[in-house]
Amino acid sequence: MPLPKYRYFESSDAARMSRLQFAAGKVVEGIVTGLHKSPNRGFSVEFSEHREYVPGDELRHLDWRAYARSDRHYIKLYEQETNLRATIVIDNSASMNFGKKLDYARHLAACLAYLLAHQQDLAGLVASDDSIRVELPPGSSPAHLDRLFRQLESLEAGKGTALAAHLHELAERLPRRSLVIIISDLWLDSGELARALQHIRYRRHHAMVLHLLDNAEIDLPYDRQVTLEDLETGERVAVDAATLRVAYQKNVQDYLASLRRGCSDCEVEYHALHVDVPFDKALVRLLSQRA
Amino acid sequence: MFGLEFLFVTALWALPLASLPLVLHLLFRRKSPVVPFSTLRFIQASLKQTAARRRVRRWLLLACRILLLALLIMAVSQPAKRLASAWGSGASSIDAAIIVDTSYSMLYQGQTGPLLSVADQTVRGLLRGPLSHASVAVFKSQPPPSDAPEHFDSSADVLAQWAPLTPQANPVPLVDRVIAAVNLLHNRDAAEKWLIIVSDLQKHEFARPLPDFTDGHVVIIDLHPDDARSVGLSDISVKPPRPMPGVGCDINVLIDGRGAEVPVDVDVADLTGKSVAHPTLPMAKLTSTPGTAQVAAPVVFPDVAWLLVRGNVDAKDAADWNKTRQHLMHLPPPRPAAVIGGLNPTTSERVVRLAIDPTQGAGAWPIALRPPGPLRGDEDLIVAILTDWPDVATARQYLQAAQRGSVVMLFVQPGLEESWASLPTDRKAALAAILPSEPGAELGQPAHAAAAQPDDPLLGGLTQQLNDASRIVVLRCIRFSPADSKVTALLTITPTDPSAGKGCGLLWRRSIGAGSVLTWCTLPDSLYSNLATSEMFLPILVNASLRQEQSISPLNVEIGRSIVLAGPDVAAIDRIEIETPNHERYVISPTAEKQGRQFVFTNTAEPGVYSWRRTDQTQPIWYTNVQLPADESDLDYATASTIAQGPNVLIARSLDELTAQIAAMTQPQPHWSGPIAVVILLLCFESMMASTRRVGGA
Repeated sequence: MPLPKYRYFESSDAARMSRLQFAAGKVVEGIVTGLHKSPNRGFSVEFSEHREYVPGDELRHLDWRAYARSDRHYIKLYEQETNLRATIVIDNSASMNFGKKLDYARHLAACLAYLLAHQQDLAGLVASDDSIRVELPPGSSPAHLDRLFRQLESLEAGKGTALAAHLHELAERLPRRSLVIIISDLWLDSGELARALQHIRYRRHHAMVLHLLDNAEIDLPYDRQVTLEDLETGERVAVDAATLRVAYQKNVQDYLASLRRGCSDCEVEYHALHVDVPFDKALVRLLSQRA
Repeated sequence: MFGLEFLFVTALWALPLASLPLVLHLLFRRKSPVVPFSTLRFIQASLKQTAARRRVRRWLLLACRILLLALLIMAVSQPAKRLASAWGSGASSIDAAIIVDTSYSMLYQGQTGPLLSVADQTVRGLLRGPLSHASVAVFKSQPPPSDAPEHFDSSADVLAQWAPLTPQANPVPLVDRVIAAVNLLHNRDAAEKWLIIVSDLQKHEFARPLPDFTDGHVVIIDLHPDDARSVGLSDISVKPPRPMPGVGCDINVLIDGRGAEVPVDVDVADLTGKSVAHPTLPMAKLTSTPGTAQVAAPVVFPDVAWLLVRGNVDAKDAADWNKTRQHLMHLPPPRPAAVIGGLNPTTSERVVRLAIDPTQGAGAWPIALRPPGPLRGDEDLIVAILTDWPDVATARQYLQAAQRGSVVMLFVQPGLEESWASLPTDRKAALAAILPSEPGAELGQPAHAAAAQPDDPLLGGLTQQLNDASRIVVLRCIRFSPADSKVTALLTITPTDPSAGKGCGLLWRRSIGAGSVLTWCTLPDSLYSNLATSEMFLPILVNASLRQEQSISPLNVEIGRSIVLAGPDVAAIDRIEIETPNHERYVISPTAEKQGRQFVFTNTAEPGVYSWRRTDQTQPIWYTNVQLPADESDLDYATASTIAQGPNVLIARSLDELTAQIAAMTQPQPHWSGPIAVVILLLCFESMMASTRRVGGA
């Protein structure tokens, strides 16, 4: 069935996504059997381990071979596969309007949602600036995807950012063992972010940070005196970029390093994506690394 | 600024353009484009970190660009430096000390006249031209009297009082005059000081280096002739230096100069100008390099107290002042002498008389031998042939003569010692007072003589004869064994046969009072010795008659130096009159010096004979000859650059050349290299700073 025409998800994207697979790095809880390991062990298909027989267990799960070898009764346990409940959090603060970051985030979110839905996982959407502008619960039906794509199209850049606070909120509200995919330029306090991620992890969620970066933000490539205007606060500063460049680059690199360290400490996947790399290539590379 | 001026001053109007970077900077700041940026968080952090460095860098770059533009504009304006801005401009105070060489060497006839005239014109030109607004002190070769030292005066006043330069004595080298000028300049507070030397730069005038003069500028106007060829009579001397009438001596004449073979004429005349001798001298030959030639001729002087040796070189060249010279001599009067013998002259007496006066009164001779007779008491030499012991009165007469300062010479006949013991005591005592000692046994063996005191004045000038003293053979001799320290053996004898015993004294001197007694222990008779035929016999007799010159007044003095009359002859004189060659008379009072009273006359500005006379007498008592300076005939000139060199030294051969040099100095000299070098450095610096700005430029 042909896809309707979406601004941030085209049929060619669907074709490319069909060949990909999104695997949860950690065990997740789902409502239907899917690709992902469930923390619930049962008597499904794939053997996991033995345990001592306890009266009351069904004898059909008794491992007779093990009994023959060890003269002890063991029950065979099997791993249960489940589907993934993912929430894509897009930072639509004003700073995302710098360069093509917000568009890039929309493309990424659309593709990831399609990919998840395509493999029977559930994908939700949350858009956050200084408040949560959009919140779409996880789903996988075509109608859900249609709603999600439409939401992405209608999403506009907001003002400031309160992403950390919203992540705290999501950590409490999301169902257990969800996957939180954060797409943001992360121009916020790295400590606050780390604490939010810790909260998410504390609530047994899995999180993945897709950090969108524009080269201009890293290199400060201006060749003359410029007046820089903060997109979120509107503050203006006149700078001689040439004299400032080295110190600025060092500060940015220090911040990125602290972000990586914070994510690593929380066992959160961190991926820096440069927006000048086409999003499909970046996504393929990302998923290839995870596979 | 830094003594710079600009040849293209109009371009300096563009200097305000140097502020262009500042204006652009300000404009640029106002119009910097607004660029939306995701967050200023790191920008602000970086701004805080780099605030100080960026401020310095920004202003440094701005200053660099402003300076760059300013220097470029200055370079276009053609900066130039004026090396001697104050010379002759009259804008600031100038003190100038002019040291002008007025020595006799400046009488050399150059291409445009005598060097002294050139120097005169040069100094006048300086006073009228470059130094017209300066304070000037003029130093000449001859120092002024101590009560009228050199002083600074306006050039107009110096010019008004200027008298044409005349040759002067130079009792001190010119470098000493330069030192005096430097010392005077050091005490001045003028904005600019000039030390100007106008000289022919004879080497002997600059035997010492010039003193350091860093306060101002040094100008040397070198007037020395390019190819000086001249001869000059620089010295006349007589050897021996104390000639005696009738005794032969040499006249030596020194000729200075180069490139000539000249005849030298010498004439000996008394002070009235009457010629008394005219020796013939050979031609003086001078090589092509500056040097000296010496010619000599033998001459015998007559018995005239004062003689002038006048020399003349027959040469016509660029220097005519040094062709003649005169040398004054004072010949001692013949010394009275007496020979005392027996009634019948013995061989020894005849020999002694002939030795003392070989002319026998017929010609000039330093000793006037008196005919036999009683002693007058004024004899300088008394010779006694003792064939018998003299009586007490005669012995005492000899003793008194010696005490007065006379020389008593005794010839003692060997054999007399045998009668000594039989002499009365008073006679022996009287004789013992003049003899070396009591006579001892006779040395009866042939013996050869030797000099025991070759440095004794009696043996002075007898070097050759003393070497042949062994030719004196003594056959008989009385031994004396003196114990008195005032008795010394001048000649000794040693027996030919060593086994014959020790030798003894042949000629003894016993100093008594102002004189002495000389005792020969044998007779000049072939029976006793061969003294009469010895070459040293006659000179010893003549020397014995001569008294030491009592006057210590020099006879010949170079012009400009003080002449002195001193000695025992003037000890009692209170005033003395001196007459110059120009017949000017001055009365002088004595000055007390360590060596006694002396009269000093300093104004020896004229060469010639100066006569000294007591104010109460008409006849002069002494003469002094003032000569032209000998060194001034020297043609050896120093190179100006060896006398003084440095950035503050100007050397010129004439006033015109000096004026041209000063004009060249006062012309601004393009001085671009400094600003251009700085501009290049600034360009490099600016491009380096600009390149660091473009790293990673958008």
